[in-house]
Amino acid sequence: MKKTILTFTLSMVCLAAYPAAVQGYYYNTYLIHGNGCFSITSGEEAHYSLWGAGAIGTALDVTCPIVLPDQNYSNAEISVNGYNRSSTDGISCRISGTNYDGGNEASGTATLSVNQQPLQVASASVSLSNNRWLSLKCHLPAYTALGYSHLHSIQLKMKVGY
Amino acid sequence: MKKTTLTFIQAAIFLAAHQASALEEYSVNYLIHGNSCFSTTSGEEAHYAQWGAGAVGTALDVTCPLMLQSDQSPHSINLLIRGYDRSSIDNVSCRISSTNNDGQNEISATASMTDNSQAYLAASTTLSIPGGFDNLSLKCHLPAYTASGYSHLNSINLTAWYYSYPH
Repeated sequence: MKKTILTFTLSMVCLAAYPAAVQGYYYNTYLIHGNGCFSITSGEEAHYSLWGAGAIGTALDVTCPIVLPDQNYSNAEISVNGYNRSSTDGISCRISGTNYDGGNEASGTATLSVNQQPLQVASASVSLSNNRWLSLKCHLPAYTALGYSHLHSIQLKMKVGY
Repeated sequence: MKKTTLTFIQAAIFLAAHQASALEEYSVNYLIHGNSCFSTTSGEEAHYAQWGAGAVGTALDVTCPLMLQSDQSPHSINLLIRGYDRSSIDNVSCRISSTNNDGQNEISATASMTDNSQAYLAASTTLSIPGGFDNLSLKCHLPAYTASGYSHLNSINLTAWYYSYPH
């Protein structure tokens, strides 16, 4: 009986200790289509198509809503996919994190090369601690003879844990 | 050895059975920066900064996108908003509402900050949701810019509470 109780206790300890021993980090990835972004440039609206969001007459800025589960984030990385048809201006996206009152801001910016026909990808990352309220702003060059500069999509890769 | 193995298995079964039989409450907390919210006031656009969204010339309303997991319905929502309320006559406030699938049977709760403070403020509210009415929307009101500065909606914590068997 004594041995049974001891073995049972050891088993419980083993099962309880196992999760505590497994530590580290993992990633959650979110996909944001460019059409989820909206203009924050006064009086200017974005053009939307299957290729995402683009500016029409003049360059504009957009913000892309982010709703995240509250987790122990240590880093955020964005990969921006788009078409940059301007020779003078680039599609760029800035990921920034603040704490609950807007302070402690940290950010990273991904910029596509100018004047390219093919799809491009650019990346940036930002370290997070308590500044885990994320916002994402992107700049879209004006329409040119080569066509729209489209922000097609953003991949947001969140590192959970350390 | 055989007895030891059997006891270990019994312990594991006991733990598994205990978890499966307990109806537990759990929550999922979502983070939303104020910059995710956009104007629903015709002809008025929000101002965006690291401190979130604010109104410029006149007060305006914004809506903030929500994306909750849909495999279960929350029975309760806690809404916590933080921001800066620089108006002496108007307040930063957010209203969480829930409707059924055709937009009816609306119930809502509002969190409102006290006005005219230089320091950041927080306000919270709780919405209890009868079963099935879990189509949530979140609208906020932003006072106009004053001599004290922008009234910014910084951040939102939305906590959805569920009754469920643990996953």
